[in-house]
Amino acid sequence: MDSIKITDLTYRYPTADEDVLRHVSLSVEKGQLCAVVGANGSGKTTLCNAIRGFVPKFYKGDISGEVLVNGKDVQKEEIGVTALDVGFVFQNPFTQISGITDTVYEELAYGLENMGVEPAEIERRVEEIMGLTKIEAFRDRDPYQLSGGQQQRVALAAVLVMNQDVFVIDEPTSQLDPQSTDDVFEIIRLMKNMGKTIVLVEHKMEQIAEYADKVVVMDQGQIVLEGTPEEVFSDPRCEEYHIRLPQCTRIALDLKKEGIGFEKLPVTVQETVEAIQAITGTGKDGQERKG
Amino acid sequence: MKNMENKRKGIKSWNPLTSLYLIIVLAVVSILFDFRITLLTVALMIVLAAVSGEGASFTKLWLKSLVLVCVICFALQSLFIPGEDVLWSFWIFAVKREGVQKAVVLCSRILGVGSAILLGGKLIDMKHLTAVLEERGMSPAATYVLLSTANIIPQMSKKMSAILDAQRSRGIETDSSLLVRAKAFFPSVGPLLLNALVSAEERAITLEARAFSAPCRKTKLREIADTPRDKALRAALISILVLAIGGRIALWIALK
Repeated sequence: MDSIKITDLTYRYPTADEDVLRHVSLSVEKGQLCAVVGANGSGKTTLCNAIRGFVPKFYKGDISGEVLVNGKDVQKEEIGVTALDVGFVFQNPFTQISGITDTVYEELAYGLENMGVEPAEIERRVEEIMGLTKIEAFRDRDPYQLSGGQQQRVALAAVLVMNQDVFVIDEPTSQLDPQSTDDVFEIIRLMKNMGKTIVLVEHKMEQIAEYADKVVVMDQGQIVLEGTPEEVFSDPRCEEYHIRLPQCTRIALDLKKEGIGFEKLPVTVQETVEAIQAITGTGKDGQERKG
Repeated sequence: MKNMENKRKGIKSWNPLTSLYLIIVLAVVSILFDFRITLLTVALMIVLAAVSGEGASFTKLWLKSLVLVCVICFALQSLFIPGEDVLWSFWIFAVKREGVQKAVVLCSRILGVGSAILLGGKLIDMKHLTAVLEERGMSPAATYVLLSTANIIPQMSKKMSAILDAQRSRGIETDSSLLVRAKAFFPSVGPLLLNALVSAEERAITLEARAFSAPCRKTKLREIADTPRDKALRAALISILVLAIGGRIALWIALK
């Protein structure tokens, strides 16, 4: 069954002159990680808001089309009810702190308290997610006193701990250093392995190629490309939409220009290694090379 | 965490609702009678603060804010309220008996209620209080406003200094004469207010994302104990309040 099913969605913000989403149709299967990429202003964040029901409930404006999450129409549902189905992390970490908690620990517990989870269970889940997201070190600190990157991880953890079936995550790594970015993707992979459906907006293509099941390219409010990372990144139209390819793919493309024949364009490091081994005849029998 | 809870001394170990009752009783009693009772209640408040381990910080804050305000009020009132009976005069200033009487009444009210509020701020954990109020049927939206207002002030002043830095880097002079500072007022306060409006929208989304309006019973990570002692204390405090108001009315009728 599709966890998320969007049919012919068109939306315009109340004060805007143009539609920000135009005839968007998208379905994400249960347990899939769907990455949304595209230039700034292409409608990625609005799409996220539409899945969570903030568009049109919170922002008003004109909408047509349908968004189903777990079979339920989010436009018809109460905005508070959707919270139990969809976890939502948005871009700005600085305003994603509830503002009424004194410690990171309480901040993580806040969503669970609102969901009516029993205190013993709250403690267990908060401890678990703090371990996963590596934020135990600042459990007793005031969330407002943390750095941008730390706040972003707290914001992500505060939503992940609520453990809904579907997560919409808008640029979770915008403030993070490379190590923390890897950590966040590791968490996202874990969530995926737990069977969560995830819609992720990201600009870091290497990680998308590595982790995503499905990539959606947006341009001017429309979905212009859709498919597996291999399908999307090997599509020559990527350049047209200003999608930066993963480094491995770019290297492979350059090598191809030099006359080295790749059967298919690799998108991850592992695939690239294997492709080069196949071409040069090294690898299993010759000296083993990795990464 | 748990150790911290146990360490709360004196009034701070009470249920916050009981402490709130105490503060209200202290405030009411201090304004019902004349200034001698006010001074007594204020002295009692300092003792209560000391017992709860906040003696020094309460007294410091109290001296810096309330006592200062009262001294200024007293001086202004006793000097400028017109009257016949001059007690003491110097150059063009004269302290009149009528002025002093009015000043004593006003200052004792300020001192009584103000000290009670200050004490409340020191002794009652807002988070615990709102949790208890919520349990007793106050709307979560109202308790959220209470709590976030208490938390937002340091946040706002941090933002203010960031804006001032930004404006300074654009060449707006902020530290110089009074006039220059006055001119810098609008370019600094404007962005602060606009920022606050914009972040209010995102804050609302944050709360929605944390299931704030989810239609389910909310739980609290830490239940706040309401012991039999608290219940007894509250009953006692209410009787004191009733007695005090009754006494005041009786006194008023007798004097008439």
